[in-house]
Amino acid sequence: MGRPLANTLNPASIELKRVTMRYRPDRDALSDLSLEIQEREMIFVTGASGAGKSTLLRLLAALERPTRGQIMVRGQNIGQLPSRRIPGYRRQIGLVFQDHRLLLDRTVFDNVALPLVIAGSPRRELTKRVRAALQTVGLSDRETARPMTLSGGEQQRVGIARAIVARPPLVIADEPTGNLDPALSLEIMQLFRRLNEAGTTVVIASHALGLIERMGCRVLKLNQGTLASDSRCA
Amino acid sequence: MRLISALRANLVHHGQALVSSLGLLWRRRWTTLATLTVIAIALGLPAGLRTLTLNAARLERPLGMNPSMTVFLNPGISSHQAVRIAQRIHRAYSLPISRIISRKEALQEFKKWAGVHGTLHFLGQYPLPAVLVFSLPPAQQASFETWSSKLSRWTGVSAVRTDVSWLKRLATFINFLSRLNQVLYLLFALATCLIVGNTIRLDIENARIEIVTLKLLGAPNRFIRRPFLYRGGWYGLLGGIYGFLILIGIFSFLAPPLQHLGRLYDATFAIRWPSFELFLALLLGGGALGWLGAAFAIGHELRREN
Repeated sequence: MGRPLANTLNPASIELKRVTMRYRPDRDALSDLSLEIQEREMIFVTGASGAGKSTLLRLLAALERPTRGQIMVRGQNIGQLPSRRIPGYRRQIGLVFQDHRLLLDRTVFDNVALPLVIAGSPRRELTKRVRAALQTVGLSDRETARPMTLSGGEQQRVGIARAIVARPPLVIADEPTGNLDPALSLEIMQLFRRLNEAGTTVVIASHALGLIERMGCRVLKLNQGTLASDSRCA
Repeated sequence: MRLISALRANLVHHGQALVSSLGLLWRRRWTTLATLTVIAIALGLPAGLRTLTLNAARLERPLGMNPSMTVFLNPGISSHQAVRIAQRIHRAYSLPISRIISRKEALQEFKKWAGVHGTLHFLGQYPLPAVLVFSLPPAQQASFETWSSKLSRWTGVSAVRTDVSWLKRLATFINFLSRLNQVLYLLFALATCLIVGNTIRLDIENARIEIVTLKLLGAPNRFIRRPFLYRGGWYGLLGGIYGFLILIGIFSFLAPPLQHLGRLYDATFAIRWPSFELFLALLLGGGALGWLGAAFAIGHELRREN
Protein backbone atom coordinates (compact mmCIF):
# COMPACT_ATOMS: atom_id res chain seq x y z
CA MET A 1 0.00 0.00 0.00
CA GLY A 2 2.11 2.88 -1.27
CA ARG A 3 5.62 3.90 -0.30
CA PRO A 4 7.07 3.68 3.24
CA LEU A 5 6.01 6.24 5.78
CA ALA A 6 8.28 9.18 6.40
CA ASN A 7 10.02 9.33 9.75
CA THR A 8 8.39 11.56 12.31
CA LEU A 9 10.34 14.51 13.67
CA ASN A 10 10.22 14.00 17.44
CA PRO A 11 9.22 10.69 18.97
CA ALA A 12 6.96 10.95 22.00
CA SER A 13 7.37 9.50 25.46
CA ILE A 14 4.35 9.60 27.73
CA GLU A 15 4.16 9.20 31.47
CA LEU A 16 1.01 9.21 33.59
CA LYS A 17 1.61 9.77 37.31
CA ARG A 18 -1.27 8.81 39.61
CA VAL A 19 -3.91 10.22 37.30
CA THR A 20 -7.49 10.38 38.49
CA MET A 21 -10.36 11.58 36.35
CA ARG A 22 -13.70 12.10 38.02
CA TYR A 23 -16.84 13.10 36.12
CA ARG A 24 -19.24 12.14 38.93
CA PRO A 25 -18.59 12.37 42.67
CA ASP A 26 -19.44 8.73 43.25
CA ARG A 27 -17.28 7.20 40.51
CA ASP A 28 -13.83 7.72 39.02
CA ALA A 29 -13.48 7.22 35.26
CA LEU A 30 -9.75 6.76 35.90
CA SER A 31 -8.43 6.07 39.37
CA ASP A 32 -4.84 6.69 40.44
CA LEU A 33 -3.52 5.44 37.09
CA SER A 34 0.22 5.40 36.49
CA LEU A 35 1.89 4.14 33.32
CA GLU A 36 4.66 4.88 30.83
CA ILE A 37 4.70 4.72 27.08
CA GLN A 38 8.09 4.75 25.40
CA GLU A 39 9.10 6.60 22.28
CA ARG A 40 8.22 4.80 19.02
CA GLU A 41 6.05 2.34 20.91
CA MET A 42 2.71 1.03 19.65
CA ILE A 43 0.26 0.12 22.36
CA PHE A 44 -3.33 -0.94 22.55
CA VAL A 45 -5.62 0.15 25.35
CA THR A 46 -8.40 -2.33 25.88
CA GLY A 47 -11.12 -3.12 28.37
CA ALA A 48 -14.89 -3.30 28.65
CA SER A 49 -17.16 -0.33 27.97
CA GLY A 50 -16.75 2.21 30.74
CA ALA A 51 -13.30 0.87 31.69
CA GLY A 52 -11.76 4.28 30.98
CA LYS A 53 -10.18 3.76 27.52
CA SER A 54 -11.73 6.81 25.89
CA THR A 55 -11.10 8.92 29.00
CA LEU A 56 -7.40 8.01 28.86
CA LEU A 57 -7.24 8.99 25.19
CA ARG A 58 -9.14 12.22 25.79
CA LEU A 59 -6.65 13.12 28.51
CA LEU A 60 -3.71 12.35 26.22
CA ALA A 61 -5.26 14.57 23.54
CA ALA A 62 -5.78 17.37 26.10
CA LEU A 63 -9.52 17.27 25.49
CA GLU A 64 -9.94 16.98 29.27
CA ARG A 65 -7.86 17.93 32.28
CA PRO A 66 -7.28 15.30 34.98
CA THR A 67 -8.91 15.78 38.36
CA ARG A 68 -5.58 14.76 39.95
CA GLY A 69 -2.15 13.64 38.84
CA GLN A 70 0.25 14.51 36.03
CA ILE A 71 0.29 13.61 32.35
CA MET A 72 3.76 14.20 30.98
CA VAL A 73 4.17 14.17 27.22
CA ARG A 74 7.76 14.78 26.11
CA GLY A 75 8.45 16.32 29.50
CA GLN A 76 5.47 18.67 29.36
CA ASN A 77 2.64 18.35 31.87
CA ILE A 78 -0.31 18.67 29.53
CA GLY A 79 -2.81 18.65 32.40
CA GLN A 80 -1.46 22.06 33.41
CA LEU A 81 -1.21 23.56 29.93
CA PRO A 82 -2.75 27.02 29.71
CA SER A 83 -5.85 27.02 27.47
CA ARG A 84 -4.12 29.16 24.84
CA ARG A 85 -1.39 26.54 24.39
CA ILE A 86 -3.71 23.57 23.99
CA PRO A 87 -4.34 24.09 20.24
CA GLY A 88 -0.56 24.15 19.71
CA TYR A 89 -0.22 20.87 21.62
CA ARG A 90 -3.02 19.26 19.61
CA ARG A 91 -1.28 20.22 16.40
CA GLN A 92 1.62 18.02 17.54
CA ILE A 93 -0.52 14.91 17.78
CA GLY A 94 -2.58 13.03 15.23
CA LEU A 95 -6.09 12.05 16.21
CA VAL A 96 -8.09 9.28 14.57
CA PHE A 97 -11.75 8.87 15.45
CA GLN A 98 -14.14 5.97 15.21
CA ASP A 99 -16.62 8.13 13.28
CA HIS A 100 -13.82 9.60 11.10
CA ARG A 101 -15.01 13.20 11.62
CA LEU A 102 -14.52 14.13 8.00
CA LEU A 103 -16.01 17.33 6.59
CA LEU A 104 -18.54 16.10 4.06
CA ASP A 105 -18.64 19.27 1.96
CA ARG A 106 -14.90 19.09 1.23
CA THR A 107 -12.86 16.80 -0.95
CA VAL A 108 -10.57 14.09 0.38
CA PHE A 109 -7.61 16.34 -0.42
CA ASP A 110 -9.08 19.27 1.53
CA ASN A 111 -9.91 17.04 4.51
CA VAL A 112 -6.41 15.64 4.67
CA ALA A 113 -4.93 19.12 4.23
CA LEU A 114 -6.77 20.58 7.26
CA PRO A 115 -3.94 20.21 9.84
CA LEU A 116 -1.51 21.85 7.40
CA VAL A 117 -3.95 24.67 6.61
CA ILE A 118 -4.31 25.27 10.35
CA ALA A 119 -0.52 25.23 10.74
CA GLY A 120 -0.22 27.71 7.85
CA SER A 121 1.94 25.52 5.59
CA PRO A 122 2.87 27.01 2.23
CA ARG A 123 0.72 25.75 -0.64
CA ARG A 124 3.48 23.84 -2.39
CA GLU A 125 4.55 21.98 0.75
CA LEU A 126 0.92 21.34 1.64
CA THR A 127 0.21 19.72 -1.71
CA LYS A 128 3.35 17.59 -1.48
CA ARG A 129 2.57 16.36 2.03
CA VAL A 130 -1.12 15.68 1.39
CA ARG A 131 -0.27 13.63 -1.70
CA ALA A 132 2.36 11.71 0.28
CA ALA A 133 -0.14 10.98 3.08
CA LEU A 134 -2.77 9.86 0.59
CA GLN A 135 -0.20 7.62 -1.09
CA THR A 136 0.66 6.15 2.31
CA VAL A 137 -2.94 5.15 2.95
CA GLY A 138 -3.46 4.08 -0.68
CA LEU A 139 -5.95 6.75 -1.70
CA SER A 140 -3.94 8.71 -4.24
CA ASP A 141 -6.62 8.23 -6.85
CA ARG A 142 -9.42 9.57 -4.63
CA GLU A 143 -8.15 13.01 -3.73
CA THR A 144 -10.96 14.85 -5.51
CA ALA A 145 -13.70 12.55 -4.16
CA ARG A 146 -16.14 13.61 -1.45
CA PRO A 147 -16.15 11.53 1.76
CA MET A 148 -19.76 10.44 1.18
CA THR A 149 -18.73 8.59 -1.97
CA LEU A 150 -16.13 6.51 -0.08
CA SER A 151 -16.55 3.20 1.74
CA GLY A 152 -16.20 3.04 5.54
CA GLY A 153 -12.65 1.68 5.24
CA GLU A 154 -11.68 4.40 2.79
CA GLN A 155 -13.14 7.06 5.04
CA GLN A 156 -11.09 5.74 7.94
CA ARG A 157 -7.97 5.78 5.79
CA VAL A 158 -8.69 9.43 4.95
CA GLY A 159 -8.95 10.03 8.71
CA ILE A 160 -5.56 8.37 9.22
CA ALA A 161 -4.02 10.34 6.35
CA ARG A 162 -5.27 13.52 8.01
CA ALA A 163 -3.79 12.40 11.34
CA ILE A 164 -0.32 11.76 9.87
CA VAL A 165 -0.10 14.51 7.27
CA ALA A 166 1.62 16.94 9.66
CA ARG A 167 4.02 14.14 10.70
CA PRO A 168 3.14 14.21 14.41
CA PRO A 169 5.33 12.25 16.88
CA LEU A 170 2.21 10.77 18.50
CA VAL A 171 -0.94 9.33 16.93
CA ILE A 172 -3.95 8.56 19.11
CA ALA A 173 -6.77 6.46 17.69
CA ASP A 174 -10.07 5.84 19.46
CA GLU A 175 -11.73 2.63 18.20
CA PRO A 176 -10.46 3.17 14.65
CA THR A 177 -11.90 -0.15 13.46
CA GLY A 178 -15.14 0.02 15.42
CA ASN A 179 -17.32 0.32 12.32
CA LEU A 180 -15.30 -1.86 9.96
CA ASP A 181 -15.44 -5.52 8.96
CA PRO A 182 -12.54 -7.82 10.04
CA ALA A 183 -10.64 -7.63 6.72
CA LEU A 184 -10.76 -3.83 6.62
CA SER A 185 -9.92 -3.67 10.34
CA LEU A 186 -6.75 -5.68 9.76
CA GLU A 187 -5.82 -3.44 6.86
CA ILE A 188 -6.21 -0.34 9.05
CA MET A 189 -4.21 -1.91 11.90
CA GLN A 190 -1.41 -2.79 9.49
CA LEU A 191 -1.39 0.82 8.43
CA PHE A 192 -0.87 1.86 12.04
CA ARG A 193 1.87 -0.75 12.36
CA ARG A 194 3.70 0.69 9.36
CA LEU A 195 3.28 4.17 10.80
CA ASN A 196 4.83 2.97 14.05
CA GLU A 197 7.67 1.26 12.21
CA ALA A 198 8.42 4.61 10.64
CA GLY A 199 8.96 6.06 14.14
CA THR A 200 5.60 7.34 15.33
CA THR A 201 4.31 6.52 18.80
CA VAL A 202 0.84 5.03 18.37
CA VAL A 203 -1.82 4.64 21.07
CA ILE A 204 -4.98 2.82 20.03
CA ALA A 205 -8.09 2.14 22.09
CA SER A 206 -9.86 -0.95 20.82
CA HIS A 207 -12.30 -3.68 21.74
CA ALA A 208 -11.08 -6.02 19.01
CA LEU A 209 -9.10 -8.52 21.08
CA GLY A 210 -8.56 -10.96 18.21
CA LEU A 211 -7.11 -8.23 16.08
CA ILE A 212 -4.92 -6.95 18.89
CA GLU A 213 -3.48 -10.41 19.45
CA ARG A 214 -2.54 -10.61 15.78
CA MET A 215 -0.67 -7.31 15.99
CA GLY A 216 1.64 -8.54 18.75
CA CYS A 217 1.97 -5.23 20.59
CA ARG A 218 1.92 -4.06 24.18
CA VAL A 219 -1.61 -4.14 25.59
CA LEU A 220 -2.86 -2.10 28.54
CA LYS A 221 -6.06 -3.53 29.93
CA LEU A 222 -8.19 -1.17 31.94
CA ASN A 223 -10.88 -2.20 34.37
CA GLN A 224 -13.09 0.35 36.12
CA GLY A 225 -10.53 3.10 35.67
CA THR A 226 -7.54 1.16 36.91
CA LEU A 227 -4.79 -0.73 35.12
CA ALA A 228 -5.81 -4.40 35.26
CA SER A 229 -2.86 -5.69 33.22
CA ASP A 230 0.09 -4.50 31.14
CA SER A 231 1.19 -7.27 28.82
CA ARG A 232 2.56 -7.99 25.39
CA CYS A 233 0.80 -10.27 22.95
CA ALA A 234 2.87 -12.99 21.45
CA MET B 1 12.45 33.58 10.13
CA ARG B 2 9.77 31.74 12.13
CA LEU B 3 8.00 35.03 12.74
CA ILE B 4 8.02 35.88 9.03
CA SER B 5 6.73 32.41 8.25
CA ALA B 6 3.94 32.77 10.85
CA LEU B 7 3.03 36.22 9.53
CA ARG B 8 2.92 34.92 5.99
CA ALA B 9 0.75 31.98 7.06
CA ASN B 10 -1.61 34.36 8.85
CA LEU B 11 -1.77 36.61 5.83
CA VAL B 12 -2.52 33.66 3.57
CA HIS B 13 -5.31 32.50 5.87
CA HIS B 14 -6.73 36.02 6.04
CA GLY B 15 -6.80 36.09 2.24
CA GLN B 16 -8.42 32.66 2.06
CA ALA B 17 -11.05 33.60 4.66
CA LEU B 18 -11.76 36.88 2.84
CA VAL B 19 -12.32 35.22 -0.52
CA SER B 20 -14.02 32.04 0.70
CA SER B 21 -16.51 33.99 2.82
CA LEU B 22 -17.47 36.07 -0.21
CA GLY B 23 -17.76 32.87 -2.26
CA LEU B 24 -20.09 31.40 0.35
CA LEU B 25 -22.36 34.47 0.19
CA TRP B 26 -22.47 34.10 -3.60
CA ARG B 27 -23.32 30.39 -3.38
CA ARG B 28 -26.28 31.22 -1.11
CA ARG B 29 -27.16 34.32 -3.10
CA TRP B 30 -30.93 34.39 -2.53
CA THR B 31 -30.62 34.02 1.22
CA THR B 32 -27.79 36.55 1.14
CA LEU B 33 -29.92 38.98 -0.88
CA ALA B 34 -32.75 38.74 1.65
CA THR B 35 -30.36 39.43 4.54
CA LEU B 36 -28.68 42.26 2.65
CA THR B 37 -32.05 43.87 1.92
CA VAL B 38 -32.89 43.98 5.62
CA ILE B 39 -29.44 45.39 6.45
CA ALA B 40 -29.72 47.92 3.60
CA ILE B 41 -33.06 49.18 4.92
CA ALA B 42 -31.70 49.37 8.47
CA LEU B 43 -28.67 51.37 7.31
CA GLY B 44 -30.45 53.40 4.63
CA LEU B 45 -33.36 54.70 6.74
CA PRO B 46 -31.38 56.90 9.14
CA ALA B 47 -29.07 57.93 6.29
CA GLY B 48 -32.12 59.02 4.27
CA LEU B 49 -33.52 60.99 7.18
CA ARG B 50 -30.13 62.63 7.64
CA THR B 51 -30.09 63.76 4.00
CA LEU B 52 -33.64 65.10 4.31
CA THR B 53 -32.66 67.02 7.44
CA LEU B 54 -29.69 68.56 5.64
CA ASN B 55 -32.04 69.64 2.86
CA ALA B 56 -34.42 71.24 5.37
CA ALA B 57 -31.48 73.03 7.01
CA ARG B 58 -30.62 74.52 3.62
CA LEU B 59 -34.03 76.20 3.63
CA GLU B 60 -33.37 77.76 7.00
CA ARG B 61 -30.20 79.50 5.90
CA PRO B 62 -31.28 81.71 2.96
CA LEU B 63 -34.45 82.80 4.69
CA GLY B 64 -32.76 83.25 8.00
CA MET B 65 -30.33 85.74 6.49
CA ASN B 66 -33.03 88.40 5.99
CA PRO B 67 -35.62 88.18 8.73
CA SER B 68 -37.76 91.29 8.98
CA MET B 69 -39.97 93.16 11.41
CA THR B 70 -43.26 94.75 10.38
CA VAL B 71 -44.56 97.68 12.41
CA PHE B 72 -48.28 98.41 11.94
CA LEU B 73 -49.09 102.05 12.77
CA ASN B 74 -52.33 103.43 14.12
CA PRO B 75 -54.93 104.11 11.38
CA GLY B 76 -54.82 107.87 11.97
CA ILE B 77 -51.08 108.21 11.29
CA SER B 78 -50.28 110.22 8.17
CA SER B 79 -47.51 109.42 5.67
CA HIS B 80 -45.22 112.13 7.12
CA GLN B 81 -45.75 110.88 10.66
CA ALA B 82 -45.02 107.34 9.43
CA VAL B 83 -41.68 108.47 7.99
CA ARG B 84 -40.76 110.22 11.24
CA ILE B 85 -41.60 107.15 13.31
CA ALA B 86 -39.51 105.01 10.96
CA GLN B 87 -36.53 107.34 11.36
CA ARG B 88 -36.90 107.33 15.15
CA ILE B 89 -36.92 103.53 15.20
CA HIS B 90 -33.92 103.48 12.89
CA ARG B 91 -32.00 105.82 15.21
CA ALA B 92 -33.05 103.97 18.38
CA TYR B 93 -32.15 100.47 17.26
CA SER B 94 -29.92 101.03 14.21
CA LEU B 95 -32.36 99.01 12.13
CA PRO B 96 -32.21 99.56 8.38
CA ILE B 97 -35.56 100.68 7.00
CA SER B 98 -36.52 98.21 4.38
CA ARG B 99 -39.77 99.78 3.26
CA ILE B 100 -42.40 102.32 4.31
CA ILE B 101 -45.83 101.46 2.99
CA SER B 102 -48.24 104.37 3.32
CA ARG B 103 -51.96 103.80 3.54
CA LYS B 104 -52.32 105.00 -0.06
CA GLU B 105 -49.69 102.55 -1.34
CA ALA B 106 -51.24 99.79 0.70
CA LEU B 107 -54.59 100.55 -0.86
CA GLN B 108 -53.12 100.42 -4.38
CA GLU B 109 -51.58 97.01 -3.66
CA PHE B 110 -54.76 95.81 -2.07
CA LYS B 111 -56.78 96.78 -5.12
CA LYS B 112 -54.61 94.57 -7.29
CA TRP B 113 -55.96 91.54 -5.50
CA ALA B 114 -58.76 90.04 -7.53
CA GLY B 115 -62.25 90.23 -6.11
CA VAL B 116 -61.64 92.67 -3.26
CA HIS B 117 -62.69 95.84 -5.09
CA GLY B 118 -66.32 95.26 -4.16
CA THR B 119 -65.39 94.68 -0.57
CA LEU B 120 -63.62 98.06 -0.39
CA HIS B 121 -66.67 99.74 -1.83
CA PHE B 122 -68.79 98.07 0.83
CA LEU B 123 -66.43 99.19 3.61
CA GLY B 124 -66.44 102.80 2.33
CA GLN B 125 -63.03 103.46 3.85
CA TYR B 126 -59.74 101.59 3.54
CA PRO B 127 -59.23 100.00 6.96
CA LEU B 128 -55.51 99.11 6.93
CA PRO B 129 -52.86 101.32 8.61
CA ALA B 130 -49.49 102.45 7.25
CA VAL B 131 -46.78 99.83 7.66
CA LEU B 132 -43.04 100.07 8.33
CA VAL B 133 -40.77 97.16 7.38
CA PHE B 134 -37.31 96.84 8.92
CA SER B 135 -34.56 94.38 8.08
CA LEU B 136 -33.33 92.50 11.11
CA PRO B 137 -29.68 91.56 11.50
CA PRO B 138 -29.59 87.72 11.93
CA ALA B 139 -26.73 88.01 14.42
CA GLN B 140 -29.01 89.83 16.86
CA GLN B 141 -31.82 87.33 16.72
CA ALA B 142 -31.91 87.15 20.51
CA SER B 143 -32.98 90.83 20.68
CA PHE B 144 -35.86 90.56 18.23
CA GLU B 145 -38.50 89.84 20.84
CA THR B 146 -37.33 92.65 23.15
CA TRP B 147 -37.43 95.18 20.30
CA SER B 148 -40.80 93.95 19.26
CA SER B 149 -42.15 94.26 22.80
CA LYS B 150 -40.72 97.78 23.31
CA LEU B 151 -41.87 99.09 19.93
CA SER B 152 -45.39 97.85 20.44
CA ARG B 153 -45.66 100.35 23.34
CA TRP B 154 -44.53 103.32 21.22
CA THR B 155 -46.99 106.10 20.52
CA GLY B 156 -48.55 105.67 17.09
CA VAL B 157 -47.66 101.99 16.89
CA SER B 158 -50.58 99.62 16.76
CA ALA B 159 -48.80 96.25 16.51
CA VAL B 160 -45.42 94.71 15.75
CA ARG B 161 -44.83 91.39 14.01
CA THR B 162 -41.54 89.65 13.38
CA ASP B 163 -41.45 86.95 10.74
CA VAL B 164 -38.80 84.92 12.59
CA SER B 165 -41.19 82.76 14.55
CA TRP B 166 -41.66 80.25 11.74
CA LEU B 167 -37.89 80.18 11.25
CA LYS B 168 -37.55 79.36 14.92
CA ARG B 169 -40.09 76.60 14.48
CA LEU B 170 -38.15 75.29 11.49
CA ALA B 171 -34.86 75.46 13.41
CA THR B 172 -36.47 73.67 16.36
CA PHE B 173 -37.93 71.05 14.04
CA ILE B 174 -34.56 70.53 12.35
CA ASN B 175 -32.93 70.21 15.75
CA PHE B 176 -35.56 67.65 16.69
CA LEU B 177 -34.96 65.77 13.42
CA SER B 178 -31.21 65.75 14.08
CA ARG B 179 -31.76 64.26 17.52
CA LEU B 180 -34.27 61.77 16.17
CA ASN B 181 -31.69 60.89 13.57
CA GLN B 182 -29.07 60.19 16.24
CA VAL B 183 -31.49 57.93 18.09
CA LEU B 184 -32.36 56.15 14.84
CA TYR B 185 -28.67 55.73 13.99
CA LEU B 186 -28.12 54.03 17.33
CA LEU B 187 -31.20 51.82 17.06
CA PHE B 188 -30.56 50.78 13.47
CA ALA B 189 -26.85 50.21 14.18
CA LEU B 190 -27.94 47.85 16.95
CA ALA B 191 -30.46 46.25 14.57
CA THR B 192 -27.72 45.74 11.95
CA CYS B 193 -25.48 44.12 14.56
CA LEU B 194 -28.30 41.83 15.63
CA ILE B 195 -29.30 40.91 12.07
CA VAL B 196 -25.71 40.01 11.13
CA GLY B 197 -25.15 38.33 14.49
CA ASN B 198 -28.24 36.18 14.05
CA THR B 199 -27.34 35.27 10.46
CA ILE B 200 -23.82 34.32 11.55
CA ARG B 201 -25.26 32.35 14.47
CA LEU B 202 -27.25 30.26 11.96
CA ASP B 203 -24.09 29.81 9.87
CA ILE B 204 -22.29 28.65 13.01
CA GLU B 205 -25.06 26.13 13.72
CA ASN B 206 -24.59 24.75 10.20
CA ALA B 207 -20.83 24.60 10.69
CA ARG B 208 -20.88 23.09 14.17
CA ILE B 209 -19.30 19.79 13.09
CA GLU B 210 -16.61 21.67 11.22
CA ILE B 211 -15.86 23.88 14.23
CA VAL B 212 -15.59 20.90 16.59
CA THR B 213 -13.36 19.04 14.11
CA LEU B 214 -11.10 22.06 13.63
CA LYS B 215 -10.75 22.45 17.38
CA LEU B 216 -9.85 18.77 17.73
CA LEU B 217 -7.22 19.21 15.06
CA GLY B 218 -5.66 22.09 17.00
CA ALA B 219 -7.14 25.14 15.31
CA PRO B 220 -6.84 28.18 17.57
CA ASN B 221 -9.95 30.27 18.18
CA ARG B 222 -8.71 33.06 15.91
CA PHE B 223 -8.51 30.58 13.03
CA ILE B 224 -12.09 29.43 13.61
CA ARG B 225 -13.34 32.97 14.17
CA ARG B 226 -11.79 34.49 11.04
CA PRO B 227 -14.12 33.26 8.25
CA PHE B 228 -17.20 34.24 10.28
CA LEU B 229 -15.79 37.70 10.97
CA TYR B 230 -15.12 38.25 7.28
CA ARG B 231 -18.60 36.98 6.46
CA GLY B 232 -20.10 39.48 8.92
CA GLY B 233 -17.92 42.23 7.45
CA TRP B 234 -19.11 41.39 3.94
CA TYR B 235 -22.74 41.43 5.05
CA GLY B 236 -22.32 44.92 6.53
CA LEU B 237 -20.22 46.26 3.67
CA LEU B 238 -22.52 45.00 0.92
CA GLY B 239 -25.56 46.02 2.99
CA GLY B 240 -24.10 49.55 3.16
CA ILE B 241 -23.64 49.74 -0.62
CA TYR B 242 -27.11 48.31 -1.19
CA GLY B 243 -28.57 50.80 1.33
CA PHE B 244 -26.91 53.70 -0.50
CA LEU B 245 -28.31 52.51 -3.83
CA ILE B 246 -31.79 52.27 -2.30
CA LEU B 247 -31.34 55.81 -0.98
CA ILE B 248 -30.36 57.11 -4.42
CA GLY B 249 -33.42 55.36 -5.88
CA ILE B 250 -35.75 56.92 -3.28
CA PHE B 251 -34.20 60.37 -3.79
CA SER B 252 -34.56 60.11 -7.56
CA PHE B 253 -38.25 59.43 -6.99
CA LEU B 254 -38.69 62.22 -4.43
CA ALA B 255 -36.43 64.83 -6.04
CA PRO B 256 -39.00 66.64 -8.28
CA PRO B 257 -41.61 67.36 -5.56
CA LEU B 258 -38.87 68.13 -3.02
CA GLN B 259 -37.24 70.58 -5.42
CA HIS B 260 -40.60 72.23 -6.03
CA LEU B 261 -41.31 72.48 -2.30
CA GLY B 262 -37.90 73.98 -1.63
CA ARG B 263 -38.26 76.58 -4.36
CA LEU B 264 -41.51 77.78 -2.79
CA TYR B 265 -39.39 79.03 0.08
CA ASP B 266 -36.17 79.87 -1.69
CA ALA B 267 -35.83 80.41 -5.43
CA THR B 268 -32.21 79.25 -5.38
CA PHE B 269 -32.94 76.04 -3.52
CA ALA B 270 -31.17 72.98 -4.93
CA ILE B 271 -31.55 69.50 -3.53
CA ARG B 272 -28.63 68.07 -1.63
CA TRP B 273 -28.21 64.48 -2.81
CA PRO B 274 -26.78 61.70 -0.64
CA SER B 275 -23.08 62.53 -0.63
CA PHE B 276 -19.94 60.50 -1.24
CA GLU B 277 -19.11 60.96 2.45
CA LEU B 278 -22.43 59.35 3.31
CA PHE B 279 -21.60 56.49 0.94
CA LEU B 280 -18.26 55.99 2.70
CA ALA B 281 -19.95 56.19 6.11
CA LEU B 282 -22.49 53.54 5.10
CA LEU B 283 -19.79 51.35 3.58
CA LEU B 284 -17.34 51.50 6.46
CA GLY B 285 -19.96 51.80 9.21
CA GLY B 286 -21.87 48.86 7.75
CA GLY B 287 -18.70 46.79 7.48
CA ALA B 288 -17.72 47.57 11.06
CA LEU B 289 -21.20 46.81 12.39
CA GLY B 290 -21.30 43.52 10.47
CA TRP B 291 -17.88 42.57 11.81
CA LEU B 292 -18.99 43.47 15.35
CA GLY B 293 -22.22 41.45 15.08
CA ALA B 294 -20.27 38.45 13.80
CA ALA B 295 -17.66 38.88 16.56
CA PHE B 296 -20.38 38.72 19.21
CA ALA B 297 -21.97 35.64 17.65
CA ILE B 298 -18.78 33.62 17.15
CA GLY B 299 -17.30 34.81 20.45
CA HIS B 300 -20.37 33.58 22.30
CA GLU B 301 -20.25 30.28 20.43
CA LEU B 302 -16.56 29.66 21.14
CA ARG B 303 -17.01 30.46 24.82
CA ARG B 304 -19.84 27.93 24.92
CA GLU B 305 -17.72 25.39 23.04
CA ASN B 306 -14.85 25.78 25.50
